[in-house]
Amino acid sequence: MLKNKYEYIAIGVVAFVIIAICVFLEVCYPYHYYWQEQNALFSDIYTLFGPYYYYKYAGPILQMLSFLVILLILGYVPYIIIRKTGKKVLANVIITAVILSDIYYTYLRSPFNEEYRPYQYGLSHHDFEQTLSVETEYYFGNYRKVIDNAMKADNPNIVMGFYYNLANAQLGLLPDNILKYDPKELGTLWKIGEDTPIAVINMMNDLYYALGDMVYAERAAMMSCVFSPNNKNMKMLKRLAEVNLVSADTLAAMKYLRYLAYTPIYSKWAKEHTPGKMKDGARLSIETKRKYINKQDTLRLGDNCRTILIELLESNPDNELALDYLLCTDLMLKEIGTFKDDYDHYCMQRGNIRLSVLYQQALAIFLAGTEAPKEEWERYISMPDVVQEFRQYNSHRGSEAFKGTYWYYFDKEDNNTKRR
Amino acid sequence: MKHLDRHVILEHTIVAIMLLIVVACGEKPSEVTKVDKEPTIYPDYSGVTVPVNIAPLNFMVREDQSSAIYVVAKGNGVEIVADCTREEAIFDIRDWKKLLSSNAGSDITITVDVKTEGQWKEYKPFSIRISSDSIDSYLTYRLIEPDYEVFSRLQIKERCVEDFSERSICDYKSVGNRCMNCHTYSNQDPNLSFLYVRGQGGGMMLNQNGNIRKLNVKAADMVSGAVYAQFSPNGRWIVFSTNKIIPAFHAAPSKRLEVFDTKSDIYIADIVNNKIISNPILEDSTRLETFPTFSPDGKSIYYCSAERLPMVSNLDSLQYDLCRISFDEATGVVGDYREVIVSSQKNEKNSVCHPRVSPDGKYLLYTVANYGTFPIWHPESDLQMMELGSGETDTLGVVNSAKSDTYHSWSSNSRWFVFASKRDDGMYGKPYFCHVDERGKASKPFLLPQERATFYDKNLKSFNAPELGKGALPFTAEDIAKAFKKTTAESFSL
Repeated sequence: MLKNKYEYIAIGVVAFVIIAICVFLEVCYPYHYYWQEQNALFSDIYTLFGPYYYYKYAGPILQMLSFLVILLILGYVPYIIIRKTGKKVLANVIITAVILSDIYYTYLRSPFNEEYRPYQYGLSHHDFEQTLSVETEYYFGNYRKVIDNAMKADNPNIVMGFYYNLANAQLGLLPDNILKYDPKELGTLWKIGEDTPIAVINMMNDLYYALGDMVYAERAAMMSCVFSPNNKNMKMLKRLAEVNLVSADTLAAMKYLRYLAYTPIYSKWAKEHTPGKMKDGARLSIETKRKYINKQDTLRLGDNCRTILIELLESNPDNELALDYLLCTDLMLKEIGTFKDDYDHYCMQRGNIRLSVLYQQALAIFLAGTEAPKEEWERYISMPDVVQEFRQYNSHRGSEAFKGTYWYYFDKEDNNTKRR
Repeated sequence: MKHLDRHVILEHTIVAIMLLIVVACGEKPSEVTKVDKEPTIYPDYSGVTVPVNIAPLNFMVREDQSSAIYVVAKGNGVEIVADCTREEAIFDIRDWKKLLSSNAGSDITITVDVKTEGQWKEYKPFSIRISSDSIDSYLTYRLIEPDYEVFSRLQIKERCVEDFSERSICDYKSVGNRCMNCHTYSNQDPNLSFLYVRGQGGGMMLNQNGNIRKLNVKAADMVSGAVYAQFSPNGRWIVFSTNKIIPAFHAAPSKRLEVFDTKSDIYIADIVNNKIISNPILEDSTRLETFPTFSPDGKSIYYCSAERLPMVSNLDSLQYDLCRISFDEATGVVGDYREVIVSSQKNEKNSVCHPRVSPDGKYLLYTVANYGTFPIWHPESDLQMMELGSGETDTLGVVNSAKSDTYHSWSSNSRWFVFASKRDDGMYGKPYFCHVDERGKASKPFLLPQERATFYDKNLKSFNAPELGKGALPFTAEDIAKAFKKTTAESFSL
C-alpha cells in the first residue's frame, strides 16, 4: 500500500520511463510504421495471445506492459481518492476516462477502423501476424523460415507468395519450388507509383535489391519513405545505406549511416558498415552484392522488370537469381517461345545450363509444339525421366495426378501472376 | 517504498542538473597538446566569408571517441565561448551578434579543443571572414524528398537567416497534400511574389502586399502550366516556360534520375490585364525553350534553348544555349532576334540552365552540365558567372564541388547569392551562400547555419529552389490555404 504522494510520483516516474523507452523503441523498431500508421502509441493488447514476433522483439512487449501499467495506475487512483477524501464524483470521472480510453483504444484495432492496416489489406489479425512473420524472417535473412512460415500459413496471400518465391530464389530453389505454392507471385510484373500500397513498394525494394538493381532498389526505398508517416521509414533508410554501399557511393552511404548512428537499434549496424571501419563480414557481403549490380549505361522510362533482368544478366551472366526470375516470369506468363529464346541466350549459348525439372518440362512443351527432331530433344532434355513423364502426361492430359508439373500448370491452372 | 523528503529530491535534482551543465558545457581544457592541422568540422566553415547579419555558425566536430569539445571564437578584442555538447558547438545568438558587429570587414578566429581518451588537444585555429555586406534577411525554399518523382507532405518554408526562426508559407496539410513549386520574389521584394500549388483547385498564388490572387496562367494549347517563371522588374510581367517533362532512370547507380523535356516554350503573362503574350522565337516548334528570366533593366529576357531532338536516344546531345531576346517592359513587345550569349558548342560543359542576372546588372550566373535540363541530378553541374560588361566568364572554382551545384538566386545588393548544393552527400540539396565582392571575386561558400549543428545529419529533405528576400512575407500558409479552397482561379487568354 502506498503511503504518500511522493510514492505515487515515484510510480509515475517509473511508468513514464517505461513509456519513454517504449516510444524510443517504437521509433527505431524496424516495423515502426505499422504502429505509426495506426496512429496509436501502444501495440495491440490482444495480440499477446497469438503473435509471432513478440517473443523475439522487446519493443511491442514493453509497449503492451506500459499500457497495462498505465491502466493499473489510473485504475488505482480513484480507489485512493475515495479512500482518502471521499470525493466519489472525481473518482467516477477518472474511471469513466479510463473506460473511454480503453474503448477508443479497442476501436483503433477493430474492424470498424478502416485505417487499421490489417483491414486495409483485407486481412484478419491472425493472417496479418502470419504475413508479418514471413516478411520479418526475410528481413533477417532467415530464408528457410520464410518458406516454412509461408507453407504453414492458413490463408496464403500475395505477400507470402512473393516472399516464398524470393526466399527460394535466394537459396537457388526458385524453379524447384515455384509451382508448389499459391499465389505464384514473383513481383516482376508489378509497377510502382504514387498509388501503389506501401507494402508492395517495400516488396519491390526487396526484389530489386536481391536482383542487384541498385537504382530501382533506391527508388523504391525513397518512395517508401515518401509515403511513410513523417516521411521516415527506418527499414528503408537502412536499405538506402546498403544500396549506396553496394554502389560504392560513399558520400550517400555516409548520409544514411550517420542518420542510423543516431538511433539505438541501428547504430551498431551503422558503425559496422561505415566505410573504412567495416567489419569483415559486412565487407564481404557488400562486395559480393556489388558483383551483381547493373553496369549498363541506359536510360529507362518505366520499371519494366524484363528490361531490368536482361540488363542485370548482360552485366553479370552469373546472376542466377536474375536468370531464374527471368525464366520463371516467362513460364508463369506461359510465354513458352520467349522462355525458349531466353533459355537459349542465357543458358545454352553461354554454357550456363540451369538444370531444373521445371525448365526441362517447359522445354518439352516447346519441343513438342515445334515438332523438334530427336537431336534437339537430346540437346535440351538432360533428364530422361522428363521425356517419359511427358509421354504419360500427354496420354492423360490435364489429369490431376500431374498437379505440380509445369505441364499441368500450362494446361489447367490460371496464371495468377498479375500485373499490379 | 521508502519515504522521500521533498528537499532531498530538490537538492539532488539541482545538483544533477548542475553536474550535467558542467560536464556538457563548462569543461575547460587543461594540459593541452597542440595539433598542427585544422579540426574536421561540419558544416565546413573554415575560411568562408559570411555576412555581418548571419545567424550563429553552430557546427559539430567529427571526431570519433571525443568526450568533450571546447570552442572559442574571437576577434577585435571580443571573445565568446560556445556551449558545447560532446560534439556540437552552439553559440549564444547575442554573443555572436556582438562578435560579428565588432569584426565587420575583418576576420574572426575559431579555436577548437577536443578531449579524447582523457587528453585534450587543440587544433590549429581557423578563420572566418566577416563581410560588412549584409545578406537579405529571409530565405524561402521547398522541402522535398530528393526523389522528385513522387511527393508527399511538401512544405515551402521561410527562414530568417539572421536567427533560426522558420515558418511554413505553404503547407501540405492545408492544400490537400498537393504538389507545390518554387516561391519566387520580384526583385527580392516580399510584397510581390508567387508560388504554385498544382492539381485541382491549385494555380499560381500571387502575393501582392499580402493579398493572394489565384491565377490560372495557362492557355488552351500550352503543354503545361507555368513551370519556371520570373517577374519583370516593374512587376507587371511574368515570363514563364511550359514544359512537357519526362522522368527516367539511368541503369547506372551513379547517375540515378534524369528528367528531360520533350516540348517546352516560353510565354509572358500580363498580370494586370490577365493576358498571355506569345512569340514565334520563344515557341519555336523545332527548339526547346526554358528557364526564362528578365534582365534587371527589363529590356531583355534571358533563357535557354536547345534543338528539339528525338528522345531518349539523343539525350546526351540535348545541349542548351544561353540566349537573349529583347523586351519592352512598357508595351510587352518581344523582339524578333535570338542572340546566343553562351553557345553550347563552345562550352566545355555543354548545356546551360537557370540563368539569373544580378540585381545590379553586372553578372549573369548560370549552371552548366554535360547535357540535359535537370542539373539537380547531374553531379558535374557547376555554377559559372559571366561579367556582362566584358563577357568574361568565371568558372567559380572556389564555389563549385564534385556534386551538383545549381539553382541559385541573388541577394538584392548583388553581393551574395544562394544556391542548392549536393556536395555533402550527393543526395540532399542544401542552401549554400556565396559572397561576391565589388571586383566580382567569389568566396568559399558556407552552409545555412542551424540552431543544432546535427540538424543536417538528421534531416531527410532537400532544400529545393532557395530564394532570398529582403523582408518577411506578408502572408501565411493559412492565406494560401484560403485562396486554394475558396477562390476561383483567374483565367488568362492569349
